[in-house]
Parts: sequence; C-alpha cells; structure tokens
Amino acid sequence: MKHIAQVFLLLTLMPGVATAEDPAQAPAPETEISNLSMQVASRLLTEAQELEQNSVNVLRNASHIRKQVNEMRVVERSLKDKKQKDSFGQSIDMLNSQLELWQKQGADLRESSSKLKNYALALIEEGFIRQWSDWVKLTGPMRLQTSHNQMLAHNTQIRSVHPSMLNRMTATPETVKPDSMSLEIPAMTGQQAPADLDIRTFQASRDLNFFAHIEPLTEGSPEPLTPLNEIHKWNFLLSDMNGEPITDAKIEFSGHMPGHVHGLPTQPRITAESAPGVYKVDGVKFQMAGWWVIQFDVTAQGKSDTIVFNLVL
Amino acid sequence: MLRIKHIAAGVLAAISSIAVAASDVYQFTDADRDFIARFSLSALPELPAAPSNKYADNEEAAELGRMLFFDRSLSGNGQVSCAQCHNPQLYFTDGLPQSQAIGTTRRSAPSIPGAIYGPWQFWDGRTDSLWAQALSPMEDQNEHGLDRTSAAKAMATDYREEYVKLFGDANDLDAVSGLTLPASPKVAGDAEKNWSQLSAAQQEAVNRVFANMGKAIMAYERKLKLPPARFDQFIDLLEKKAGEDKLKTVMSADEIQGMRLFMGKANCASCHNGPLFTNFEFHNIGAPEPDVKQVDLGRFQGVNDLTKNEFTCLSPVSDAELEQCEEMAFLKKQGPELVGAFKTPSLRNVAATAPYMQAGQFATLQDVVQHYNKPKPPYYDREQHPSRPHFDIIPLGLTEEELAQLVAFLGSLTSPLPKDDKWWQDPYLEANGDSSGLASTTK
Repeated sequence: MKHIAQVFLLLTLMPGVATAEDPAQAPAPETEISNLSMQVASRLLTEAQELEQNSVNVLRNASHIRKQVNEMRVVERSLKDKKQKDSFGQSIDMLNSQLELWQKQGADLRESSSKLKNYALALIEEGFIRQWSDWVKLTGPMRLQTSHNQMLAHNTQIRSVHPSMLNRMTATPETVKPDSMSLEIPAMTGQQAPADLDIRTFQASRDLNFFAHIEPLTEGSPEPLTPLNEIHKWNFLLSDMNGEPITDAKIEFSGHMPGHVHGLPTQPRITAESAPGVYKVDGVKFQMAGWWVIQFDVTAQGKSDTIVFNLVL
Repeated sequence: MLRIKHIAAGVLAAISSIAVAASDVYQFTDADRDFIARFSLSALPELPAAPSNKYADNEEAAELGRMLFFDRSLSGNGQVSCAQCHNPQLYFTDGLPQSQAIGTTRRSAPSIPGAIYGPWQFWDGRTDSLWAQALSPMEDQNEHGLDRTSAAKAMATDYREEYVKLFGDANDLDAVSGLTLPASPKVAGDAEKNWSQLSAAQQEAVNRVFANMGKAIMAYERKLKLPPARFDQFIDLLEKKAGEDKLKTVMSADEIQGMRLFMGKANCASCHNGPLFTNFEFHNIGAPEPDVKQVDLGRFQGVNDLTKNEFTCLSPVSDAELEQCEEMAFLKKQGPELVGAFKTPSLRNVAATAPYMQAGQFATLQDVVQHYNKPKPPYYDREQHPSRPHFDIIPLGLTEEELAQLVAFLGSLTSPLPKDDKWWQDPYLEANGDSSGLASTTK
C-alpha cells in the first residue's frame, strides 16, 4: 500500500510521466494492477536513468570549467600589469561561481535520479511480488541460517596478493575487538559492505531489459534462510520490466567477495527452467559470511544484460 | 621514514600487548567464551553423511577395515601397511617430511582423525572420499606397491569370510580368484597391459572388490575419535565459569596469550577454524617449493586428477545416487587461486606431528610461525605454472615473544593418545598377546 501511495505522489510530482494509465481510474483485477504499476515504474526507471545521464553531462561540464579556471589562474599569475591582473581575476571569479552552480546542479540531478530510481524499483518490486506470488517466499534480504555447530568459515583476512602489490606485503592483518569481548578477532577488512548497500533480492538489469529475484530453496521461518558451507539450490525468477516471464534464457552465474580475490568454492549453474521464467540454480555454496556479489549474465529475446545482487550474509 | 614507521609499529605493538596485561589473561567475557567454544571438540558435529559408501557406519565394516589398515601383507614386499605412514602413536602420521614405504612419496603423510570431516582428501583434494583415498596408495609403487588385481585377490583369499558376510557376494571373489597376472590400469608396464586384456566383466569385478576394500578402511577411519586436549578442557572450565586458579592448572599464561594471538593478531583463525582448526579449503601460503624442477601445482592438479579419477562419488562402484554427488557435480575447475594451493590441515595434535607443510619443508613449529610472520611469495616458473600462483597471506608483524606464545598455544591442542581405545590399536599385536597397547611400526 505504501508504495502505491508513493506512485501517486510521484505521478503528481513528475508531470512528464503522468501520462501513464492511472491504476486507480479503472478498478482492475490484482494482476492487472501489478502489471500496470510495473509499467509505470519501468517508465520512471527509464526517466531516472535519463536524469542520471543528464547529471553526468552536467558534471562533465563542471569539470571542463574547472580546468579552464585553473588554466586562467596560471595566465593571471604571469600578468605584470596590476590593473589588467585585477580585471582578469574578476573574470576568473565569475567563472568560478558558475562552476559551483554547475556542480550543485549536477549533484541535485544525481540525487533526484537516485531517489526516482529507488521509488521505481520499490514499485516494480511490489508489482513483481504480487504477480509472482506463487513463487516468491523471500521478500527481505538473504540471511544466513545460524547453527550451533557451524564452522567459523571466516577467512576474512585471506586475500590473494600479487607479489608486485608491495603495500600488501608490508601491511599486517587487521583485527577488531568487539565491546563485549576481551579477544581480538579477524576484521572483515576490505569486505565491509557500505551502509547504504542495496541488498534487495529484487533487481533490475543494468540496461533495464530484465527484472529478477533470487531466493534459496531452503526451509526457514518465516522466510527461507541460506546455509553456510553447504551446497544448496536457488530459484532465479526472471521477467521483463513488466513482470512477464522471460523463458529460454541463457544464464551465466558467478559470485565473488569484494576485497577478496577468491570466488565461490563451487561452480554453480542453472540446471532447469521449472516453470516459465523460473530457473533453478544448483551448486551454490558459501564458505564464509560477509559481503558477496552475485552476478547473472542473461541472454534472452535477442538481448544480453547483467543483473547484480549484493548479499551481506 | 621507513624506520620511523617501524618504530611506530613497535610502539603500537607494545601498547596492544599491554592491553591484555598478565593479570587479565585469564579473564574472559561471555562473548569470548561463545567465540572460543566454537573451537572445542565438543562442538564437533556428527560425522558427515557418506552417500558414496553405504558401509561407512557399519560396525563389521569398521572391524574389517581395521584389519586391512594394519595388514602388512597388502603390499608388494609384504612389509607395508597403511599404519606404516599413518602410525597411531604419531596421531596417524610418520614424523617424516616425505613418507618412506617401498619408495619415497612426494608429499608428507597427513593425520587421519582431523581429515574425516572434509569433502576432499589428500593435500590437493584429488579424491572426494576416504574410501577412494585409501585405494590410491595401494597402487602407488612408492607406497604399498600393489596392483589392483593382487589387492582384490588378497581380499578373496585372506578376508573371504568377512567379505561375503559384509558385502554378501561371493561371485566377484570367485572371478577375482581366477585371475593369475598382476593387472592394474594405474601401474605402468606389464600390469597395465594385463589389465587391458581382462574382460570388462573381470575389470568390473576387480573394481568392486577393490572399492569395497576402501569402503571398509573408511568405515574404520570414521571410528577414530580424538580425546579432549588441554585446550578443550580449558573451554569446559570456562563454560563452567571456573576460577583463575583452576584455569591455570590447564593452560599457562603464555599459552593463553598465544590463543589470543591465534584468534586475533596472528590471523590463524581465519582459516584454521572450527573444532578441527581447518576450513577444509585450499590456499597458497607460499611454503618453499620442495622441488623447483617439478613444481607442485597443488589443487590445480588435484582438480584435474579428480575429473579423471575412477573412484569418486560418480563412479559405478559408488553407492550414491547421481544427485547426491553435489561436490563433484559443481566442482570448481577454474580459477587462478587453485594453482599451488593446498588443503588447510587440521591443527589438532600439530605439536606432535612434525614436520610441516605438504612435503615437510618446515621441521619445527617455530619455522612455521616464522614463515607466516615474514612470508615470501610463492615460487613462480613461467614454464611450469599455468599462471602466477596467488598468495593468500600477509606478514603478521609479531615479536619473537609473541611467536613463542603462539607455538606454546599450539601445544595445548595435543590430545592424549587414547590407550584404551581399540581403534587406535594394531589388532595383530593384540592377537600376538602384546600388551604394550598402541601399535608399533617395528613389529
């Protein structure tokens, strides 16, 4: 409900996209509503991407101006005549104030784009969950099963080091000492996930061709939980941006830990399409907790695109 | 500048060691206890399921496996049993850099009790079960020096009764008994030629009997339990909130400082974790290359061998359904991190199982911790390595005192030899009325 309220807010805020069918006008069956809201949202997403591109252009302009300002400062310093120097200096200051404006505009554009993108993704997610309600058991982020007997599987400090990376060869391991402990334990160096990391299990592909969801096919209450050090299966639900299943896709799976050159300890792969758009991933195994990046390279309907999920286990 | 940095590091180290002053060494919080308890033998889960060996938890199979394990007649010269290199008195190792049987092996004999929980066996993980592992040395001409047919024939003659009772089929034994020539697909020369001349049915019969031999040995190995070491007793006391006086009787202040380093600054617990002090993964820690003329590719070669191995979860002689062979089905076959990587060994009984590393490159634990403190990157030879080996460790910056404490802690992981546990004893000595208890390799 919250998200539907958000879309109304958005539709009024964004006159450019308010031309889309308003879901409130024609009371439609559940699936139709979710389908409509996904259509609206994917247009918002396109809009967000255009805004993002605009912000890139603006910021590029800004950096161009900065370069000019710097060059002019050099010329200014070489001027002998005081009057000439002062007047030239004034021009530079004026240009410099322009620079700040450009920079602010770029930043603002970027912020609006990211806000819009988040609204749109939340809306698509909402629609997707309703449309795929037979399949979606996990709506939150992936979480680990906790077991009394589980091995630590920590490995945090272990990373592959090329001998030419001399800085690595002088640094010593980092540890942390939690408040509740007198023991130091290995720190999650280089794997500290940023606080605002998007760990949703619902993601759009890079070029907005596909929308997908992942979840482990495991028991858990109320939502499925991911085991550690155990081979298990996932479902990978793949749709277009309107929530329609994408069938017969060619999908490559890969995973790694940032700040850690090693990948997964196994080579998982797609083993079946158990229903239209429902792909079974088998052979998934995590040997340690922490930040994992999982990537699906999808080729379907003549398009190739990449969907990335961040997990913090 | 560099010097200043080092002095600064030294000062920092001094401050951090003051942080746990001598009087506080025995003080642990609840969270500390919870953390350390995960390393206790009492936290060891049940033995992992063994779908490829349906006899894995069969008592009679374990009894038969025990006889096989200590049987010296299962060798080319009648002198080499499994216990030759896996001597119970030395926690199922042999104390040598490279093992001596009929010849000399390339690698060091690993301890068994700490290995039975891992998905892969051998330093490079070239088999996916203990039963397949046990078969490989039989056909290695530097180890037992047998051929597959002769090994199977020994089952048919020396263990016929036990075999039929357990595996319920005399037909294979009869087929095997009728074979006269040494034959094996893995022993170069005449044996290989003889093998190719056997019928498919004969080869299959030999393979089944041979595999059952391994399955019995595996059932035996799963009986090897480690009694609690001082470190485990210490955790017990901590959990009972015993006082400092009590704790001191089990572990010294230096050993505990060593444990604190092990879990923290020395970073050992990153890979050596859990009750067996191993994550069962493969890493390259840059141990000196034992033979630069023939570099050891470790896991890279192990994966290659696995895919060609006749005895895995996927083979016809395996008892598993195909979908139970998940580790093999999703085997990681690529990745530069496989090159020169070896399995993290268990640190249980490490102080009693020198020398160290895959070919015994380090004679003492002091040598080992010195290496970790100032590691050298792995040897690289463009001609021999498929890619530059990765390097998985960084220097520790520990003082000599800290290194000594680390070694002291490792000493607390030695379990007492279980004198009353029959599985640790040579059944042939028992039969001869030898009451000395543990097996001897010089019988």
